[in-house]
Amino acid sequence: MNIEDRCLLADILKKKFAHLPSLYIDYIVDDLHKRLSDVIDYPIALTKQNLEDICCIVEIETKDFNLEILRSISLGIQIRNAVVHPVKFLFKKADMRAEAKPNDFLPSGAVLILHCFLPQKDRMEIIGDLEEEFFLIFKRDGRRKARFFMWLQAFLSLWPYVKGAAWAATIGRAIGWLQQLRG
Amino acid sequence: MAVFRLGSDAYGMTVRQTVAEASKNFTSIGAIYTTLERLEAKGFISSWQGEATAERGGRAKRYFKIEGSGIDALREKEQVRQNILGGLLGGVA
Repeated sequence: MNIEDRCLLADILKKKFAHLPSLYIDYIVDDLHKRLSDVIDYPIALTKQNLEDICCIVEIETKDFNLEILRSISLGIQIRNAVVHPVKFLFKKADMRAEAKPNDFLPSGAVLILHCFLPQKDRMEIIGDLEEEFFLIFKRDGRRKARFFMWLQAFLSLWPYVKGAAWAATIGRAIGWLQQLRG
Repeated sequence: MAVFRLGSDAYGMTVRQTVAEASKNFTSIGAIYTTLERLEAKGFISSWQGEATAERGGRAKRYFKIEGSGIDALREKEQVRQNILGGLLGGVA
């Protein structure tokens, strides 16, 4: 069965067995597909005949089942999906990380801080220098060290400018105070 | 001294790396730029905009070059250092 046939089968079964939870139908279709692929190597086309057979199988298999049991099975599937999907997502994230370029890991927060607080005359040169060194460290030592370097530089690079501005402000106030004394 | 040592390849990142390697301390790029600007204001070094590269996100480099007065100042400082050191070593001997 190909994917289209599986979806079609699931839709037909969901309509035919409307009293059964839809997740359970999905589970049955998956299970059926696995069982069939264990027995037969080639894909089976969904025909009217085998559709009737499948409906009979589902009817027989679900006949003795209590609806509450089915609901609990359905809940089990939901829980399994809730647990498995985040794990899959983590793996996907790890794959994405492996495929990602160094540029994707450049800490935009650190760059933003530098953009906001550095004086305009040095801004582009400093950010450019840090970005260049970030890529060097990224290649040599990996993502974590490169990001740590960038954040540390972002904070420590501001200090000389803050100190200079504070010093200029202090001198300005001192001059103003002296002028007031003389005046 | 780092600008003098690096010659034509003296810009922010290389100067920072040279100073950090020589002093074996963590040096911030901001401290390097403020110092270089002070030296530029005194006329010891000069700077100009270089080319922009992809690794820098298309931002231009700022190259620094030591001027004649800068070399004179360096020689003078070195002479003072040697005089003091010579005096100290003479006292020890």
